[in-house]
Amino acid sequence: MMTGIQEIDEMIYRDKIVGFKFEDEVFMRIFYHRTIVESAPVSLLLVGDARIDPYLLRAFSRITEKEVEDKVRVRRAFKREDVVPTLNSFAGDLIIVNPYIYGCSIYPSLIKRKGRTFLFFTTEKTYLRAESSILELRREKEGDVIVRVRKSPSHPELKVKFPAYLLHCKEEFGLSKWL
Amino acid sequence: MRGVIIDVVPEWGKLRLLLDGGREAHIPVTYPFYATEVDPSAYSHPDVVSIERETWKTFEGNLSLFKIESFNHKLRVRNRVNSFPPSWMQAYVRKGISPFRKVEIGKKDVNDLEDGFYEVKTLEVRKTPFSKPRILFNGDEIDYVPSDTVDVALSPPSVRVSSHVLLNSNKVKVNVGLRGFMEWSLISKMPLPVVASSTIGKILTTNEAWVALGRKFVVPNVRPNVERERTIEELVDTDKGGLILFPKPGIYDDAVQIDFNSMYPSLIIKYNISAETVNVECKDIITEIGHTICKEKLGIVPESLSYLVRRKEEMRNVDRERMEAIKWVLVASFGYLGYRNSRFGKIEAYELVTFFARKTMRRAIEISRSLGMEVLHGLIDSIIVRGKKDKISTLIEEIEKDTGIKLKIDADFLWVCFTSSSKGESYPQRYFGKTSSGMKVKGVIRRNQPKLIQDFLKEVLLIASTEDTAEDVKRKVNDALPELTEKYLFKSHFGDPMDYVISIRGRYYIKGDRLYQAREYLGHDPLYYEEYVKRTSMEVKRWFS
Repeated sequence: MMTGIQEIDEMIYRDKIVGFKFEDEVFMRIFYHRTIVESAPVSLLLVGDARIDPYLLRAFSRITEKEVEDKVRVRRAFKREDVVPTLNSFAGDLIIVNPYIYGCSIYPSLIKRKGRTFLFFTTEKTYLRAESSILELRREKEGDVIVRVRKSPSHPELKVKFPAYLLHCKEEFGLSKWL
Repeated sequence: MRGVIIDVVPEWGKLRLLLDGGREAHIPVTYPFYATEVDPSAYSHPDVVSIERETWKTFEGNLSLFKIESFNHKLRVRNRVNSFPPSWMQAYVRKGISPFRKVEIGKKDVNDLEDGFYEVKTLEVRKTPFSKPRILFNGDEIDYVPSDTVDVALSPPSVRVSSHVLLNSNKVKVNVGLRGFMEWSLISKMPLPVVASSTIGKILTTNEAWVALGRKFVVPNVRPNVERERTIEELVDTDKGGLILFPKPGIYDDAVQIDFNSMYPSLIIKYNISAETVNVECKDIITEIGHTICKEKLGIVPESLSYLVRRKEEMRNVDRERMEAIKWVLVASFGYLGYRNSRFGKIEAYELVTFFARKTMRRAIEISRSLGMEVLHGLIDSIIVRGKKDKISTLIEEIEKDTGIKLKIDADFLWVCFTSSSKGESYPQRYFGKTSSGMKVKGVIRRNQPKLIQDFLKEVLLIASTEDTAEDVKRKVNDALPELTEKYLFKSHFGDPMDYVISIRGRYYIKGDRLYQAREYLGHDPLYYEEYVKRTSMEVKRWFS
């Protein structure tokens, strides 16, 4: 499993459970769509009002030249009681969007899992952390993305910066630099 | 004692029945409680009458339960199941008691005689801001508040009303009127005060719960649901709404709108769609979207809905207000199937309903075309067709035969106009037309438009309504439009303060130097309103060109 951003992938390649915390949902949405495409074949669990945009997935799949439509298996959990049984029903690598939105404890289920797990969230309501590492991503005004390591066995207190256009699989600013 | 039941109150070992005319009666009962496990001390509890073992069905299989009969309706039971509806309601339903039914009360039992709905004296006070309240006494409008004590009343607390059961209209959550609440009370078997503070979802769920309890099926509190694993492509194919055809903008002569009667509830009943019948082991119907349906036994949701559909048809010729109240429950039934906290819902069941709705609509369009008709518009459960008007009854028959759902002619248009945006894209939910009984207007005049614009559009529609053919309408509106625009451009500068009011989410605003709440008039921005009138005038010109 990988995010496609070299700086981040280098930091987490050994971790089994990785949490990505975002300050806004739009940023998170772009990031998890990119990660799904880069990590395919993968399973996906959408919790609460988390959504998947097939057009955004297709765009990333076209850019990265990776077929995803048959390789991503999805399940949705619409209420608190659905989260743990749905999470337990997956095997292999898994991406979970909004895992803490209902504040239920997914710690035992995450620990028991055999594959790697990526968690994407803006809100955290649980204090029992199963993640091996947690990265906090924030968008800067200058068009950069700051990645702050909140928890990591190998990279404590690290701060990495990369240009936001990398998120969109671009190699330079393009026309946005004129805005 | 004979009388109509208007309220039920649980007491220790008995139910107090409130009858019409303020009379009261008591009948002895025990209250049922169900638990998966029972503590040995429960057998010697002074309130407990008996404890028996029963086998009940659940979504997962059979379950052995302890049925505790108690004198106390507030008995605290651990590991309790079937706690909805409350045990005191289960106790009176078991006795054959239902609100607004005429009964004969004996020493121990109650005999149900007949419908007592219209024997109850009712009073309803409907308050509207800045106008005189509407007072309905036994359904008839009067202009004073009667001093007599009535059986049931719905009024705001500011109006002094004498009633045996008094409901506060400020606290009700749904706007259905007193007779609507009484009908809900009758169909859900819940007392009126409970119904008045309930949501439509609760009425629907209670109805389903009675069906479930009748079959010895446990009413679940919270049911974890694990969705079937799907690919992105499968999810995109299934997670869709109803079918909408985008109409070609313009005015058309001689069109007919045909509506499916209660389409979604009818589909749920026809295909037996319920949480316990969808994606289970028995697979009688395998659909293209991968979901399966078991037709072995009638589902809980279809059974409860078929009663409501039947009841709605019965009420159609009896009481419009009662029919509307049932209609609201039926409208909510489909959405509630996909609601995450629904006791008898399932997201896959919801997806199946929309799938069959799209399929049914597609079939209706195909049949219309095969009969040589042009399909102008299709909107979830209705189609507008043109040409060969003499074949409309054949079309209805053919579609009914093919889909198994009843249809009705909703509007027989002399002409119908489909509107479009400035880019020429059609709006599927904004159309209007003239029928023999008047104009039918959908989505053209909206609450979020300033009153000035609403009046302008109303005047345009009034002019249009005087003509019977598309050509005449175009000519007449285009002739009158310049003068009308001038009139409203003048009003945009020198109108009444009321003309500039815009309603946004139930609050009233005026556009001045900023958008401010219209508690008082602090000036308006004439250029904004002028631009709005010009824009609307251009839009109207486009519709009628």
